Amino acid sequence: MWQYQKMVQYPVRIQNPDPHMAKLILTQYGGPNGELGAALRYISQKFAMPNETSKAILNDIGTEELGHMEMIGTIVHQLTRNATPEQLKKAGFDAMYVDHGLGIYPSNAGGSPFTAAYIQSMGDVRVDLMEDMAAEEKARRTYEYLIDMCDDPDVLDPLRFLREREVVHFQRFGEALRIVEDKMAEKKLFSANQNNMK
Amino acid sequence: MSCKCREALMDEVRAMNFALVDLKLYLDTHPGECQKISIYNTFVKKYRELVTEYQETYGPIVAEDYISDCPWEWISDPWPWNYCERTGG
Repeated sequence: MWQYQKMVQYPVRIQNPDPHMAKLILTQYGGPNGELGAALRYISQKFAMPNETSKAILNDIGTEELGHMEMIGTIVHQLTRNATPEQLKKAGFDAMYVDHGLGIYPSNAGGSPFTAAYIQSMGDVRVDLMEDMAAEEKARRTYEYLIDMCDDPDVLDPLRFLREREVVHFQRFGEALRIVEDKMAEKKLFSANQNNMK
Repeated sequence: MSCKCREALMDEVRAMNFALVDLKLYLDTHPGECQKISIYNTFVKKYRELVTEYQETYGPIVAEDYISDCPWEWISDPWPWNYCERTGG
């Protein structure tokens, strides 16, 4: 189960609205490399994990991703705070506005709704962990593209934090994969006579 | 109520929570590192103290770990996604 903590993982305090940047950052909420996909991927994959490390790492990183989803929602919400229809129109947020107002909807930057087709769950620890490492790298790159598009320090600060988390998660998934592969590569001794083992 | 002191204390709670989250992931893949576990345990104690201080002063962080006055305090603003100006701290 989950328990809510009434705080965001990293402070988000965005003074100036910027609906255009909000629209771009929304892709990390419900886009192909976004936090919703990440959380759903890891929390779904965990059930088929064979060893303690991979169960724990998928559960715990999946949990952190839920917190990142909340951070992205917070950033998008604050970037559109008090924005007038005129400002929204000028920023190219008008298509988003007519479909969702200032509500946060899980879509990519172009408005396409989130789909579970963004993720996989294959019931195989090596296959899943390799997908997860790729997912972290894709999310890291997306944050870098967003950082390229952004010049507001209030927005850059949480984006940089989230980018760094992708790097750490990639590292942890790699370690989990190595633990699994080392175990698989161990030489096994089979014996019909238990006395031989003494 | 001003956001100033609340936000400064919340930043401390958040920082300690982050230390725990990050170290937890490390320990998931390095479960035999006793010295790191001992650092983790020290952080847990500090985190508990900070959460207690925050909750006693400003209200609940975890509803299931908070004795509320009437009216029900859990619903009080600000919620984490609300913009809160930081003026110091």
